[in-house]
Amino acid sequence: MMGAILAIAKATYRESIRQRVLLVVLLLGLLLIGVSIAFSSLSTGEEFRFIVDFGLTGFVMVGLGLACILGGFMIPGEIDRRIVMTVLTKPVSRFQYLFGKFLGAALVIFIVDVLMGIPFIAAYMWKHPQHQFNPVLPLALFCMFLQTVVLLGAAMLLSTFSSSSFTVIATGFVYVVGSVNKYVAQLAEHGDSRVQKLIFGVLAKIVPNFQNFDLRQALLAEMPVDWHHIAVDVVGYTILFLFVVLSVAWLFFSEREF
Amino acid sequence: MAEAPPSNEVVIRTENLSKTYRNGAEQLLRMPGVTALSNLNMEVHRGEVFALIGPNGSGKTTTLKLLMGLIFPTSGEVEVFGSDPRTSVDVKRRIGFMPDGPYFYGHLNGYELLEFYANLLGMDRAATKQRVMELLEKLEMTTRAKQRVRTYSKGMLQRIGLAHALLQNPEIIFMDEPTSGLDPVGTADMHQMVRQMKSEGKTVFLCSHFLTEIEDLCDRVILLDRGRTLQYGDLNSLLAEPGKMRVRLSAVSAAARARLLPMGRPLAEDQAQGNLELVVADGTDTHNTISTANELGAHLDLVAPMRRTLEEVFMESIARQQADAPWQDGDRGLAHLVEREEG
Ligand SMILES: Nc1ncnc2c1ncn2[C@@H]1O[C@H](COP(=O)(O)OP(=O)(O)OP(=O)(O)O)[C@@H](O)[C@H]1O
Ligand SMILES: [Mg+2]
Repeated sequence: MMGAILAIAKATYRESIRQRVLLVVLLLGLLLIGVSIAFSSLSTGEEFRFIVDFGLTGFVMVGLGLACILGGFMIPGEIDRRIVMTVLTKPVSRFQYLFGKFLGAALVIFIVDVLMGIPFIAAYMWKHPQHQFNPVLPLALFCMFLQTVVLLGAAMLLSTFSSSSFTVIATGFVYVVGSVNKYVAQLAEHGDSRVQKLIFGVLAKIVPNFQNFDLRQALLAEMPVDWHHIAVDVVGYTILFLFVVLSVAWLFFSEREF
Repeated sequence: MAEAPPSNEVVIRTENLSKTYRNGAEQLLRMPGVTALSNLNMEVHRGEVFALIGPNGSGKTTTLKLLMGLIFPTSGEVEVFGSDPRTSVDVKRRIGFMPDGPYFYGHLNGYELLEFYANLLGMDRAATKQRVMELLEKLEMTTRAKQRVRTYSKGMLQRIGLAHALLQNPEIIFMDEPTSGLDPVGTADMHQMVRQMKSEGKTVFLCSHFLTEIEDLCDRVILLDRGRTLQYGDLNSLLAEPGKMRVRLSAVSAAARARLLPMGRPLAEDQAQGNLELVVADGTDTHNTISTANELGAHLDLVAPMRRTLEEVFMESIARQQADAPWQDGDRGLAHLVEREEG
């Protein structure tokens, strides 16, 4: 059971890291961090704040890009190239295939995040007034990783029943709504019409709240970590979201014909 | 090919199997869609070489995909080893599939590619290594093992496709157009592989539109045209022309020729060489033809039960089908196929 999943995850990972577009995304991310270091010296006094803001935004953007590319094109690409036929005629269930693909893509995201995280942490310590390491930093990056994985799950669900271009657009939409989820919820509460309340209400409920994943404030204020928040609103939510999204994706995928 | 006689155990069975392709809009609007296969009924026995024949678009690949659970029937039933291939993952341990024009992870080399599929099968490292090397050897791909699959030629891809299908040593092997795009040597090699698999007791289920290939390799066939079954059965009885004999004569003089010709239907003739081949009814007619030939000094080279070629069977089926359901404009019927085979 696990063997086939891991074999597919490994192949997905191997295939992905050979794709030039992923390298480009990684380089863009590194560039963003480099630029943030260069520019930080201009904003005197705010240097440290600048690095944190700019750097974390880099993680978000790269994550969004990865989720769209991997989630939107990975499985449709294998369907186009008819690879999926050769895999599913081995003793591999559609669930194993889907989940293996997901794990492989998540591994790619993790590696990209590590590769960007190391220079980011170095830059942070360099620009930090006391050159201190902050344990919230890796945690903040881990939350960014989880946010990307949540987007990946959403994209994979979308790609099981829609085209790649729609998946990319819709994933972008999920990201935008998720980032302003709080305001969407407010719109739902204070909406004028019932239709408006309903639409914004549903949207706020089904789209993840990415504000929960953003530890920027805690990082800048060097506040202690709210572990309860991390465990429930970030990790717990991610697990639940992925469970639901991948289950529904599996339902759609089971009906697909190749 | 009498090594391992086919048994009567049914390994594949379909009942009124039909498939209509509809895209999303067609489904919503309940439009007719494309009927690729209608009411296919067949049984395939263990150990036989079974072929689906038909022109492009006749539903061969559709049938294979239904048997493999890659697509689902619109109506009817399909069973492989008694299970529904859509739900049974275990059945896939016992079958191998060689797709038409296989596509693989191009960045992997041949060895890595087979290793990937072996991992899917749950083989451990040692078993994988041994099996992959064995198959590469068998398919003469050892020297290409370290080359990226992307750079393989069509023939090499077909070989690696077959190797991937054979990894789990399957009981049934499905092959979609196994020789399409292969040169004569590659084709002969592929035929040899089919014979070998049969001698190992495997069931081979193949799709093809090369009639001569089928005639040499297969035990039983289904003839499809636009999704409909035209013929189904034992190749020998399909080709046999009951009650007719073929009489081949040489050293036939002009006088003998004049006497012999009206006695049967000429099948082949070479006046300059004095060769003549006739189809005559068995019994008295055959006897008379032989004695006449004897009297007139012609040599008797062969007397055998008459067998049609698959091509002739095709033509007849077409004529019948044409009468039942005339072709629409733009339809690529069987006639097109036979023309090409002849040319
Ligand atoms: N996914 C699909 N959607 C719609 N129509 C399809 C689809 N796949 C096949 N068809 C149609 O079904 C019919 C049968 O196709 P199929 O691929 O089974 O033919 P085939 O006998 O394998 O032909 P070939 O010799 O060219 O490989 C064709 O008319 C084809 O256009
Ligand atoms: Mg085909």
